[in-house]
Amino acid sequence: MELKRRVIRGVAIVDASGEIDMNSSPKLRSECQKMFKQKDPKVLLNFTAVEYIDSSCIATLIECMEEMEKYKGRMAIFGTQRATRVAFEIARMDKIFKFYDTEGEALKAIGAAD
Amino acid sequence: MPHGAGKTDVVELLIPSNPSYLSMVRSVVGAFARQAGFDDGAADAIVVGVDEAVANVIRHCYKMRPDRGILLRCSIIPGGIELRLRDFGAKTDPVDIVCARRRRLRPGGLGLKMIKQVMDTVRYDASHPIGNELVMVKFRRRRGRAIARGAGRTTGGD
Repeated sequence: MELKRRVIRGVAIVDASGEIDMNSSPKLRSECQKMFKQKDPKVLLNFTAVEYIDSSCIATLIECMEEMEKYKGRMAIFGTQRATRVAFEIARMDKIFKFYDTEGEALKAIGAAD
Repeated sequence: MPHGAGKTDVVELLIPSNPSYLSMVRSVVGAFARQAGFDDGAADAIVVGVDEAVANVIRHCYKMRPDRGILLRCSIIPGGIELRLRDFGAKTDPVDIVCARRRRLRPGGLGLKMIKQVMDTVRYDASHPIGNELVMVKFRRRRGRAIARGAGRTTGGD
Protein backbone atom coordinates (compact mmCIF):
# COMPACT_ATOMS: atom_id res chain seq x y z
CA MET A 1 0.00 0.00 0.00
CA GLU A 2 1.17 3.53 -0.80
CA LEU A 3 -0.15 6.81 0.61
CA LYS A 4 0.52 10.26 -0.80
CA ARG A 5 -0.85 13.48 0.64
CA ARG A 6 -1.61 16.65 -1.32
CA VAL A 7 -3.69 19.75 -0.69
CA ILE A 8 -6.13 21.19 -3.23
CA ARG A 9 -8.25 24.27 -2.53
CA GLY A 10 -7.90 23.86 1.22
CA VAL A 11 -8.75 20.16 1.19
CA ALA A 12 -6.25 17.48 2.23
CA ILE A 13 -6.41 14.61 -0.23
CA VAL A 14 -4.82 11.26 0.61
CA ASP A 15 -4.16 9.20 -2.51
CA ALA A 16 -4.10 5.56 -1.42
CA SER A 17 -3.14 2.63 -3.61
CA GLY A 18 -2.79 -1.14 -3.35
CA GLU A 19 -4.30 -3.37 -0.67
CA ILE A 20 -5.17 -2.09 2.81
CA ASP A 21 -5.36 -5.08 5.14
CA MET A 22 -4.08 -5.99 8.60
CA ASN A 23 -0.56 -5.96 7.16
CA SER A 24 -0.73 -2.39 5.88
CA SER A 25 -3.50 -0.61 7.82
CA PRO A 26 -1.10 0.57 10.58
CA LYS A 27 0.44 2.83 7.91
CA LEU A 28 -3.01 4.28 7.14
CA ARG A 29 -3.63 4.76 10.86
CA SER A 30 -0.34 6.62 11.20
CA GLU A 31 -1.29 8.94 8.32
CA CYS A 32 -4.71 9.54 9.91
CA GLN A 33 -3.07 10.42 13.22
CA LYS A 34 -0.99 13.07 11.45
CA MET A 35 -4.21 14.60 10.15
CA PHE A 36 -5.74 14.65 13.65
CA LYS A 37 -2.68 16.46 15.02
CA GLN A 38 -2.87 19.05 12.25
CA LYS A 39 -6.65 19.25 12.69
CA ASP A 40 -7.18 19.11 8.93
CA PRO A 41 -10.75 20.44 8.57
CA LYS A 42 -11.55 18.73 5.27
CA VAL A 43 -10.11 15.39 4.19
CA LEU A 44 -10.76 13.33 1.08
CA LEU A 45 -9.54 9.77 0.67
CA ASN A 46 -8.84 8.84 -2.92
CA PHE A 47 -9.53 5.09 -3.20
CA THR A 48 -9.35 4.98 -7.01
CA ALA A 49 -6.24 2.79 -6.91
CA VAL A 50 -7.14 0.78 -3.80
CA GLU A 51 -7.67 -2.85 -4.76
CA TYR A 52 -8.78 -4.32 -1.43
CA ILE A 53 -9.73 -3.27 2.10
CA ASP A 54 -10.48 -5.35 5.19
CA SER A 55 -12.03 -4.71 8.61
CA SER A 56 -8.80 -3.22 9.97
CA CYS A 57 -8.97 -0.53 7.27
CA ILE A 58 -12.65 0.13 7.96
CA ALA A 59 -12.01 0.31 11.73
CA THR A 60 -9.20 2.80 11.08
CA LEU A 61 -11.49 4.94 8.92
CA ILE A 62 -14.19 4.89 11.63
CA GLU A 63 -11.61 6.01 14.18
CA CYS A 64 -10.47 8.71 11.77
CA MET A 65 -14.00 9.99 11.26
CA GLU A 66 -14.73 10.01 15.00
CA GLU A 67 -11.53 11.93 15.75
CA MET A 68 -12.31 14.48 13.04
CA GLU A 69 -15.83 14.98 14.36
CA LYS A 70 -14.31 16.11 17.67
CA TYR A 71 -12.97 19.24 15.96
CA LYS A 72 -15.84 19.52 13.45
CA GLY A 73 -13.71 18.16 10.61
CA ARG A 74 -15.24 16.39 7.60
CA MET A 75 -14.10 13.33 5.70
CA ALA A 76 -15.29 11.67 2.51
CA ILE A 77 -14.11 8.93 0.15
CA PHE A 78 -14.08 8.92 -3.63
CA GLY A 79 -13.29 6.51 -6.45
CA THR A 80 -13.99 3.19 -4.74
CA GLN A 81 -13.66 0.08 -6.89
CA ARG A 82 -16.15 -2.80 -6.80
CA ALA A 83 -14.10 -4.93 -4.39
CA THR A 84 -13.66 -2.12 -1.85
CA ARG A 85 -17.30 -1.06 -2.12
CA VAL A 86 -18.33 -4.67 -1.43
CA ALA A 87 -16.29 -4.63 1.80
CA PHE A 88 -17.98 -1.40 2.96
CA GLU A 89 -21.39 -2.91 2.18
CA ILE A 90 -20.65 -6.16 4.02
CA ALA A 91 -19.55 -4.19 7.08
CA ARG A 92 -22.74 -2.12 6.72
CA MET A 93 -20.59 0.99 6.62
CA ASP A 94 -21.72 2.12 3.17
CA LYS A 95 -24.26 4.44 4.82
CA ILE A 96 -21.84 5.74 7.44
CA PHE A 97 -19.21 7.21 5.14
CA LYS A 98 -19.81 9.71 2.35
CA PHE A 99 -18.86 8.31 -1.08
CA TYR A 100 -18.38 10.15 -4.36
CA ASP A 101 -17.45 8.88 -7.78
CA THR A 102 -14.90 11.54 -8.72
CA GLU A 103 -12.49 13.95 -7.07
CA GLY A 104 -14.41 16.89 -8.54
CA GLU A 105 -17.70 15.75 -7.03
CA ALA A 106 -16.04 15.11 -3.68
CA LEU A 107 -14.32 18.52 -3.62
CA LYS A 108 -17.59 20.24 -4.38
CA ALA A 109 -19.51 18.26 -1.76
CA ILE A 110 -16.99 18.83 1.02
CA GLY A 111 -16.94 22.56 0.34
CA ALA A 112 -13.53 23.16 -1.22
CA ALA A 113 -12.49 26.81 -1.50
CA ASP A 114 -13.11 28.44 -4.90
CA MET B 1 -23.05 -27.09 -10.96
CA PRO B 2 -20.00 -25.65 -12.74
CA HIS B 3 -18.47 -27.53 -15.63
CA GLY B 4 -16.66 -30.65 -14.48
CA ALA B 5 -17.37 -30.15 -10.77
CA GLY B 6 -17.22 -33.25 -8.64
CA LYS B 7 -15.87 -34.70 -5.43
CA THR B 8 -12.33 -33.99 -6.53
CA ASP B 9 -12.92 -30.24 -6.80
CA VAL B 10 -10.80 -29.42 -3.79
CA VAL B 11 -8.01 -26.89 -3.39
CA GLU B 12 -5.84 -26.84 -0.27
CA LEU B 13 -3.54 -24.02 0.72
CA LEU B 14 -1.10 -24.20 3.61
CA ILE B 15 0.31 -20.80 4.56
CA PRO B 16 2.37 -19.36 7.39
CA SER B 17 0.48 -17.18 9.87
CA ASN B 18 2.17 -14.14 8.40
CA PRO B 19 -0.16 -11.30 7.30
CA SER B 20 1.91 -10.84 4.16
CA TYR B 21 0.34 -14.10 2.86
CA LEU B 22 -3.21 -12.74 3.09
CA SER B 23 -2.95 -11.41 -0.44
CA MET B 24 -2.18 -14.93 -1.70
CA VAL B 25 -5.21 -16.32 0.17
CA ARG B 26 -7.43 -13.69 -1.45
CA SER B 27 -6.16 -14.54 -4.92
CA VAL B 28 -6.73 -18.28 -4.48
CA VAL B 29 -10.18 -17.91 -2.90
CA GLY B 30 -11.35 -15.40 -5.52
CA ALA B 31 -10.25 -17.69 -8.35
CA PHE B 32 -11.82 -20.72 -6.68
CA ALA B 33 -15.16 -18.97 -6.13
CA ARG B 34 -15.31 -17.93 -9.80
CA GLN B 35 -14.38 -21.48 -10.82
CA ALA B 36 -17.30 -22.66 -8.67
CA GLY B 37 -19.70 -20.46 -10.61
CA PHE B 38 -20.01 -17.36 -8.43
CA ASP B 39 -20.14 -14.02 -10.22
CA ASP B 40 -17.57 -11.29 -9.57
CA GLY B 41 -19.57 -9.52 -6.85
CA ALA B 42 -20.25 -12.73 -4.96
CA ALA B 43 -16.64 -13.89 -5.36
CA ASP B 44 -15.45 -10.54 -3.95
CA ALA B 45 -17.73 -11.01 -0.94
CA ILE B 46 -16.47 -14.56 -0.33
CA VAL B 47 -12.89 -13.27 -0.49
CA VAL B 48 -13.74 -10.72 2.21
CA GLY B 49 -15.24 -13.40 4.46
CA VAL B 50 -12.28 -15.78 4.17
CA ASP B 51 -9.72 -12.99 4.50
CA GLU B 52 -11.35 -11.86 7.74
CA ALA B 53 -11.38 -15.43 9.05
CA VAL B 54 -7.67 -15.91 8.32
CA ALA B 55 -6.86 -12.51 9.84
CA ASN B 56 -8.75 -13.51 12.99
CA VAL B 57 -6.71 -16.72 13.26
CA ILE B 58 -3.48 -14.71 12.99
CA ARG B 59 -4.74 -12.11 15.46
CA HIS B 60 -6.46 -14.27 18.09
CA CYS B 61 -5.21 -17.86 17.81
CA TYR B 62 -1.60 -17.13 16.99
CA LYS B 63 -1.34 -13.72 18.71
CA MET B 64 0.40 -12.30 15.60
CA ARG B 65 3.14 -14.97 15.59
CA PRO B 66 4.08 -15.23 11.90
CA ASP B 67 5.63 -18.72 11.93
CA ARG B 68 2.65 -21.00 12.57
CA GLY B 69 0.56 -22.91 10.05
CA ILE B 70 -2.91 -22.22 8.63
CA LEU B 71 -4.61 -24.72 6.35
CA LEU B 72 -7.41 -23.58 4.06
CA ARG B 73 -9.43 -26.24 2.26
CA CYS B 74 -11.83 -25.07 -0.46
CA SER B 75 -14.36 -27.57 -1.84
CA ILE B 76 -17.13 -27.33 -4.38
CA ILE B 77 -20.31 -28.77 -2.88
CA PRO B 78 -23.79 -29.06 -4.42
CA GLY B 79 -25.01 -25.51 -4.94
CA GLY B 80 -21.99 -23.73 -3.55
CA ILE B 81 -18.65 -23.98 -1.84
CA GLU B 82 -17.33 -25.04 1.55
CA LEU B 83 -14.28 -23.37 3.06
CA ARG B 84 -12.59 -25.06 6.02
CA LEU B 85 -10.01 -23.06 7.93
CA ARG B 86 -7.80 -25.07 10.26
CA ASP B 87 -5.37 -23.63 12.75
CA PHE B 88 -3.12 -25.21 15.36
CA GLY B 89 -3.15 -22.38 17.87
CA ALA B 90 -4.92 -21.46 21.08
CA LYS B 91 -8.46 -22.70 21.60
CA THR B 92 -10.94 -19.91 21.05
CA ASP B 93 -12.78 -19.21 24.28
CA PRO B 94 -16.54 -18.79 23.72
CA VAL B 95 -16.41 -15.88 26.20
CA ASP B 96 -14.01 -14.14 23.84
CA ILE B 97 -16.52 -14.63 21.05
CA VAL B 98 -19.24 -12.95 23.12
CA CYS B 99 -16.86 -10.11 23.91
CA ALA B 100 -15.96 -9.80 20.24
CA ARG B 101 -19.63 -9.36 19.44
CA ARG B 102 -19.64 -6.34 21.75
CA ARG B 103 -16.60 -4.90 19.98
CA ARG B 104 -18.06 -4.84 16.52
CA LEU B 105 -16.16 -1.78 15.43
CA ARG B 106 -12.76 -3.16 16.36
CA PRO B 107 -11.05 -5.22 13.65
CA GLY B 108 -11.62 -8.60 15.38
CA GLY B 109 -15.29 -8.02 16.20
CA LEU B 110 -16.03 -6.26 12.94
CA GLY B 111 -14.32 -9.09 11.06
CA LEU B 112 -16.56 -11.66 12.74
CA LYS B 113 -19.61 -9.65 11.80
CA MET B 114 -18.40 -9.50 8.18
CA ILE B 115 -17.81 -13.26 8.04
CA LYS B 116 -21.38 -13.89 9.24
CA GLN B 117 -22.74 -11.35 6.80
CA VAL B 118 -21.08 -13.03 3.82
CA MET B 119 -21.47 -16.73 4.56
CA ASP B 120 -24.68 -18.76 4.67
CA THR B 121 -23.42 -20.94 7.50
CA VAL B 122 -20.46 -20.56 9.82
CA ARG B 123 -19.65 -23.45 12.13
CA TYR B 124 -16.90 -23.49 14.70
CA ASP B 125 -15.38 -26.89 15.46
CA ALA B 126 -13.34 -26.99 18.67
CA SER B 127 -13.27 -30.79 18.87
CA HIS B 128 -9.72 -31.12 17.54
CA PRO B 129 -7.15 -32.03 20.21
CA ILE B 130 -5.03 -29.14 18.98
CA GLY B 131 -6.31 -25.94 17.43
CA ASN B 132 -9.62 -25.01 15.86
CA GLU B 133 -11.52 -25.38 12.63
CA LEU B 134 -13.92 -22.88 11.13
CA VAL B 135 -16.28 -24.29 8.50
CA MET B 136 -17.92 -21.74 6.22
CA VAL B 137 -20.44 -22.49 3.49
CA LYS B 138 -21.68 -20.19 0.77
CA PHE B 139 -24.42 -21.13 -1.68
CA ARG B 140 -24.97 -19.60 -5.08
CA ARG B 141 -28.06 -17.42 -5.28
CA ARG B 142 -30.56 -17.29 -8.08
CA ARG B 143 -29.97 -14.45 -10.52
CA GLY B 144 -31.12 -11.10 -9.15
CA ARG B 145 -30.67 -11.85 -5.45
CA ALA B 146 -28.01 -10.01 -3.50
CA ILE B 147 -25.09 -12.25 -2.64
CA ALA B 148 -23.41 -10.04 -0.07
CA ARG B 149 -26.54 -9.88 2.07
CA GLY B 150 -26.33 -13.44 3.29
CA ALA B 151 -28.62 -14.38 6.15
CA GLY B 152 -25.89 -16.29 7.94
CA ARG B 153 -26.69 -18.88 10.59
CA THR B 154 -23.74 -18.86 12.87
CA THR B 155 -22.63 -20.96 15.78
CA GLY B 156 -19.50 -19.06 16.67
CA GLY B 157 -15.97 -18.35 15.52
CA ASP B 158 -13.68 -15.36 15.79
